[in-house]
Amino acid sequence: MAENTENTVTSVTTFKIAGEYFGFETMKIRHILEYVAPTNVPLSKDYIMGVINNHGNMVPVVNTSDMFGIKDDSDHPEASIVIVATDDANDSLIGFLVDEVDDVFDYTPEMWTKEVVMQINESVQGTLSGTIKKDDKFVYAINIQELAKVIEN
Amino acid sequence: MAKTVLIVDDSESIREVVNFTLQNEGYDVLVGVDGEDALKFLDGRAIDIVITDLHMPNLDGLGLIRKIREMDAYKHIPILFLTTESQTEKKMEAKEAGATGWIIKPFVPAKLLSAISRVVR
Amino acid sequence: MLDRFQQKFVEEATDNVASIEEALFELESDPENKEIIERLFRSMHTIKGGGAMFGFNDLSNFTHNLETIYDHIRNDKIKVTKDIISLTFESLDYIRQLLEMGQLTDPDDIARQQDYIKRLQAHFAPGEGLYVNPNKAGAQQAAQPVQQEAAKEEEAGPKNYLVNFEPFENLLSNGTNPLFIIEDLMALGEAKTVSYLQDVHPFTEFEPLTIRIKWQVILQTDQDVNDIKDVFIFVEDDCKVEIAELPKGDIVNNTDKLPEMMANAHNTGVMLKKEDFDAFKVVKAEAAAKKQEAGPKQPQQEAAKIATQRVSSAKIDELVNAVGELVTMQAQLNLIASKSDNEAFASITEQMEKITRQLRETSFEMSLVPLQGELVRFQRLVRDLSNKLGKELEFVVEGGEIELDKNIIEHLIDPLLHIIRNSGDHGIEMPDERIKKGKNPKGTILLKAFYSGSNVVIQIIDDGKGMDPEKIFAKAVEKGIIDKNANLTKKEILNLIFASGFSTAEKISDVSGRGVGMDVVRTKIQEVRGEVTVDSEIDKGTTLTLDIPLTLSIIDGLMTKVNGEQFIFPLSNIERILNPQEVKFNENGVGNIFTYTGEQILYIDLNNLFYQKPVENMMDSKILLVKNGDKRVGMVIDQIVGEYQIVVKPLGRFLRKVDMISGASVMGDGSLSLIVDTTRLINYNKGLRNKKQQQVKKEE
Repeated sequence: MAENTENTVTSVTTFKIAGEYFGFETMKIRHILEYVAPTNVPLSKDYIMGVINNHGNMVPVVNTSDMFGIKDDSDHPEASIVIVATDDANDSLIGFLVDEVDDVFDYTPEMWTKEVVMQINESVQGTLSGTIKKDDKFVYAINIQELAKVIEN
Repeated sequence: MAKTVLIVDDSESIREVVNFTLQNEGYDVLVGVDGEDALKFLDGRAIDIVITDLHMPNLDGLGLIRKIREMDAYKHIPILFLTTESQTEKKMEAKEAGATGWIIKPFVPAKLLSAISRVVR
Repeated sequence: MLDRFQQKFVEEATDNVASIEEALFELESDPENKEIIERLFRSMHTIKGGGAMFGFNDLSNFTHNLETIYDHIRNDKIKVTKDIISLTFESLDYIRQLLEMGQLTDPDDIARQQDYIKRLQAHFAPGEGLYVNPNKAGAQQAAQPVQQEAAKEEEAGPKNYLVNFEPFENLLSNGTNPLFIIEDLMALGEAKTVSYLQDVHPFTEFEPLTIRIKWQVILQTDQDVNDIKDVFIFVEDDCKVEIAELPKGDIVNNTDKLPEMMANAHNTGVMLKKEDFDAFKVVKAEAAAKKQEAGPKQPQQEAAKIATQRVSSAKIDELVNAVGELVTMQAQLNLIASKSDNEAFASITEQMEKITRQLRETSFEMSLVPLQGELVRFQRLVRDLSNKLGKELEFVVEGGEIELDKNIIEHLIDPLLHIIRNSGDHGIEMPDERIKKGKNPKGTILLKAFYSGSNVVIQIIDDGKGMDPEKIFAKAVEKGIIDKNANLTKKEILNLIFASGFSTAEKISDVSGRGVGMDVVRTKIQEVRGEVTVDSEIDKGTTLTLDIPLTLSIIDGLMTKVNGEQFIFPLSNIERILNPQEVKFNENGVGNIFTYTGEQILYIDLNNLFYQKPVENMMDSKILLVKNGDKRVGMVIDQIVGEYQIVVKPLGRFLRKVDMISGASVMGDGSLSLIVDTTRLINYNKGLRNKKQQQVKKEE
């Protein structure tokens, strides 16, 4: 997610993984589904759980906590798959398994900082583009394009 | 009884416009894609008028007109040809071949209908 | 109303441009051929005529000028030159642009068109090609009557005319009915008609084809004299027409003098003259409007059938997609029917299955288009290349009639253009160099297409300087693509050109530049589940081979289970299904090989390959014997479920690297099955084995 430098409000959708809050730009989100077990695709990357059928399209699902290397042992009855469009291409849809979808809100430049204190797997650390502070909550903003690049390569 | 029009043109879009216009006006329409193709309709059935393009593959408009004029059944039916310019030379040639009249492209449907009504009632 | 036909016109004109292009290539090698010139002229004529009809006036105007050149050529006024052909090619590109742009509004565009037209006009005598747009000409004509009307206003009210109509004897032979002309005249206002039968042959000499009647019409009308002339437009050369203006007044309704005058004229054969009507001066007239009869209105009837019909490709895509969904639904229905006791239901389902299959096949065939249609672009490219590079290049095609899925063809255009550009630019040598080598100074690029099983093979073969494996190897090492100690076959080395970050061009030339490497070509081809390989001999030439599936969307597959998951193998790849009992496994269990009908066959244990756990009991498994080039490979799976017709859904770019799975399919029960690409799977397995062997060697 790009830094919000202009004096506009941008909407973010936040979700929880291992007790931490992360956010995707709301504009990029296409669907939020209740968790369904993906069909495993052998020989794919470890953090790819498999594919699900989303309106006739095959959408890969990423186990986000595996990919980020953060995990908690609790049950996640609210687990969901957040499907985002990384760009306009037909096959740009990708799903992320999250523990729980949290909130949707607008943020202003004052709420944004470039600092990210959250440490995740090195390969994806760079996809965290900043931190949004809302009330007492810190939301780590994820740059979806960058994340997509990591998954694709 | 509805009049039968045979239209002959190698341009599909022109064929469609003419066909559409004429059917809307209640004509029965036969469609040939070139002169050669049009001949298959000239089997003695009642045709009230032929409208043909001049430049076509296989058998061109002039050739078609001459052929039609050789057939007893169609010796005297009106034949209009489509032409892009009002070139006198082309018109004379077509008339010598036996054409009754012409319609200058581009035409609007009303012009097409009025040209037909000059020669068929 | 014309709008609805505009799209059709654009499609048709695009086709016409393509056929002009094709004809132009022929003309280039056979410039005197009248038949080709005639064809060119006709296509241009169609574009021009249609352009004007459908509101593409600038296109029409431009094409008129182009057409004029070819009109001169066909009338032997000028000769075909290289210049004219090049200009025509360029013009075709411009026509394509005009088809996209429609009417020009931007002054820059208009100026550009004028320059273009001037260049065209340089090829024929000035003035001749000046084209007055028929629409605009019409507008000018229409302006005249307005002025006349203004003049008329001073003396309002209808005018009277005496119209003489004396047909020549042959008027009937052209299908003209003189009575219609009389009717038309009378329809212009109020009229009285006198006929003169004096010259008619006596009955004994009656000749039905000649006409010897004359008419005079006294017409009272609001219409202009031009409208009267208009009535005679088709017959102006076949008769004598005179129009004279008479005094104003209600002459036609006169009961006092007119009937007598007319009867007298009719009987004596002495035609009425303008002066005879002087007596009617002063009389005031009130013209009554005459209603025109409506044209024939009948319910519309069935039109003649046309053998082929143009359908937009979007609609075909829609159909193919819908059929895809239908196939999936059908599978669902089959599943429910198989569990139902209702016989009627089962039988209907079976019938529907047949229809679905038929629909699938028909829609599949509809989505195929011949390669031919795209070849002109390649031909064009080679032509441009040979001009630009100063090389003599010839483009030859074999198998242009091969048909492929339209979407696949679209996908192949760019890679093929790139490959051909490379062949022309880097492959074929300059003429003097070729002569030195004892080659024909003219280089050939051959595009060869043929069917191979359910695939189509497209080869681009040039007879150029070929590729040097040593150079490629060195470059690959330099770029860090391979280790300098790597032990590779010649073929493996050559195919390094497809590795990302590799480009054989030593300098970026104007033609091949743009930084697109062969890796992009390979990616593009893989996107349609195709494969590309290269072979080359130094100084003999290079062959690029594209192996492309016929279609992407629907296949017949064999569903199997491995480790509880569903995998589908394309039926076309499977030679037979074996029980483990039918084969003889290598006794020492080394190398995953069994013997079947005397042949040593490598097998792949999919449990092991996919899930890193060898199959528990080989004797309970099944073996699929799969074709792999001229060899066969066994695939060990747990269980066979059955044959299905399936819709292939690609896994998308995020799983691109898992290329041994070519897609997934939604089954009747909503579950997903993965589709196995056996060729890639075998290659992947081979790669693994090589790695292992190398590791073993290193450890030793």
